[in-house]
Amino acid sequence: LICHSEEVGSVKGVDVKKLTVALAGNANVGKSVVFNQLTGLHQHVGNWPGKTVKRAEGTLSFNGYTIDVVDLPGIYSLSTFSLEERVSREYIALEHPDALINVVDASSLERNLFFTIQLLELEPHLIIGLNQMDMAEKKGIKIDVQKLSQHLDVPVVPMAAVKNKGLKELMEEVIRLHEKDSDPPNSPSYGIEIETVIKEVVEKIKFEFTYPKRWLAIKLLEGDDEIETLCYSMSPELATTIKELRSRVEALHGHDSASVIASERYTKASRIATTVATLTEPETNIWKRVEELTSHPILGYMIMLAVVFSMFYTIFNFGDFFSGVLSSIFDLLKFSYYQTFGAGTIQTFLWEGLIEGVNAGISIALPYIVPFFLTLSILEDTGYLARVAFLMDSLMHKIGLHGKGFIPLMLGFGCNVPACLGCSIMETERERLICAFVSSLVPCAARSIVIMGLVATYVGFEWAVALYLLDFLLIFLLGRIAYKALPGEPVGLIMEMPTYKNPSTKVTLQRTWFKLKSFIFEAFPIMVIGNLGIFLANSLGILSLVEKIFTPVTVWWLGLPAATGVVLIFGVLRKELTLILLASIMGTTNFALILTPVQMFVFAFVVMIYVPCIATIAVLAKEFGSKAAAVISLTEVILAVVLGGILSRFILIFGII
Amino acid sequence: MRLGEKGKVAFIKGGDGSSRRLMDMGLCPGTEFTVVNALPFHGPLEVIVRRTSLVLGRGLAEKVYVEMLYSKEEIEKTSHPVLKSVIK
Repeated sequence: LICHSEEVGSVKGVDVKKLTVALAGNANVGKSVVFNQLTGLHQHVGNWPGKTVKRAEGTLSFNGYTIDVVDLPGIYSLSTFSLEERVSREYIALEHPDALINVVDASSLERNLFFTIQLLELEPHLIIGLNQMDMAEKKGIKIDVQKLSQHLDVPVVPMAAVKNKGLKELMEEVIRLHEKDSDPPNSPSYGIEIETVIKEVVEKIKFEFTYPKRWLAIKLLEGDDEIETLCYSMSPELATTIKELRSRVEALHGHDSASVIASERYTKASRIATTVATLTEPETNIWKRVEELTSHPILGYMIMLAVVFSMFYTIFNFGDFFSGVLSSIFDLLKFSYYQTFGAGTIQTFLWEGLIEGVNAGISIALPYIVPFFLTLSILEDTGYLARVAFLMDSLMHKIGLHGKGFIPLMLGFGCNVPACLGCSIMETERERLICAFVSSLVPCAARSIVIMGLVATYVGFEWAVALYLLDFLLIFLLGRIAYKALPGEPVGLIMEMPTYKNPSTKVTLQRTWFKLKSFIFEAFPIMVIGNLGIFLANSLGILSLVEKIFTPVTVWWLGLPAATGVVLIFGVLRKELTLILLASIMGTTNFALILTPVQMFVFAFVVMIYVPCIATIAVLAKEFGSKAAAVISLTEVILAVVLGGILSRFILIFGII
Repeated sequence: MRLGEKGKVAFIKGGDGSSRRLMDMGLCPGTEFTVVNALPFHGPLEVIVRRTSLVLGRGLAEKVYVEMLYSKEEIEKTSHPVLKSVIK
């Protein structure tokens, strides 16, 4: 964190000067580390207007400037393949940040420069932050920073953001560039044949538009749908010219013009990379060996199982312990509260109606979520999650998702909330939705409590396992149905396999805190309101009415006691509450006295499938809109009820349990 | 292609989306690469391209038509120092 706030406004007595800076770059280049180091705790994450893409923004004070930093999504090109790409190019072209920092991974210069060249075509005030210089050196790559700067005609600042190196220089460069107030650099030129064609298109573009003409010309040749529609609406005669030129390029190079332009860019990137970088023998280290082992066709899976198992084991134990501690603190507080204030209507309302909602969030959700976010952050920063995605790719394809989709599913076992938030790693809206849908069916810690506490304890461990297997089968089938039903083409896996690296403690903690903060701000109010709503409904006697209305479903169809109707409604708040409430309504914790084994199995099944909890619904609504959240919730309720009844009859007819 | 073999992208077949992504990640026509890892059951491949490691789902990989450069045997057998450094 660079912060000289005391200097703000003191320079020559003028007002604070404001700058807007955007960060752009590939994934895995340490862009978010740069962002976190620059803005520290002064940041907020929202969505791009009307999009499900995260927009992280933060501020810092530096040498008399207040600098607003916008972190653009990590992408590899500026086409319209993903929402992220669209958001980024619109931002750069339309909002004109004072400086655009292209964070570049020094150890993978070629691919990064491919993106740099595309950025330059948009003619921004570009600065290259040449990051991970330390990692590159370990790989035996030495880069001539001066030369790189000359080749591209942009300032280049060497950095190692994880170690907080080079960030001050980067900001100084931003200010220098701003004060110099020169024209943006020219974009690099390609081979002579393609340049002639580009020039021809540029001459044909008569209208003025926010995007640079050269960029429009290149995009038209590449066949970018969005730009085509835009340009052809302004000058329809352009369409025939472009078609003609495209076929000329194709005839000349033997590939379609989009491939030709991509090749030209890569040739350029490759040429620059080879002139500025010298390669020596890399340092040998054990990480290389670990990399091979963790993606090995046999050992890789064994290691993954061990890692995932120990992760869950630790999280559950940690969560269980702290959940217990926090619950007893709350119980103590509750006791002294009623001791001090008495148990009148208002006092009861305050505690049961308002504070209990907070209690649920703090003592049930947080103890599991904090270690979850923390371990996830570490696994992500080290580069292990990419291996998991690699290993699980072929299985995940069966439900129409690729390997990366396994990560949210895995998270779902702890809590569906981070799982649904984690779906943003998928590339397209379609993939994200399928992924969130199946994630919301994963038995989270709360559901596991019901399954374990009821079925495993009273019916038998093998029946608990059967429930899990049933759930996995359902996830598989529903995933497949969603995959067939939703329009669009499934997306294959393609990603960089990052080398392992040590995560920075500061960045990991910061990231965990931000995830936690957004969880608290989003989920807590809903938990409190939900709790209040049910409390009021209960005191007004609506709940017993509901119980009666639900009787046909609960008693006749599912074969459960009538009290389960109310219990299942409360369960929307927290699923483990179903068990706790059932005990308190029935007046015993010995469930064998009140439920038959079949009823237990069916009850646990319904709890497992019917609507995700209120916090998950809230996240779904936020990420995908309230309509999608409602559809998912409703589908799951119908599914739970229909299948629960069938299951109940099936078990009774065959007398299995 | 088998493990350890080196090839060159001849052309990419398939929808606009997938060929774009492949090219964006550096697999455009004429690019050389080496297959270093492949998972069973139609699993993804790991290739070294442009000095970095890239993971490729089998579905996407099948869209890439390649020109074989050196087989594994050739890479192992060769004693020519220049050729060796090229294929390495």
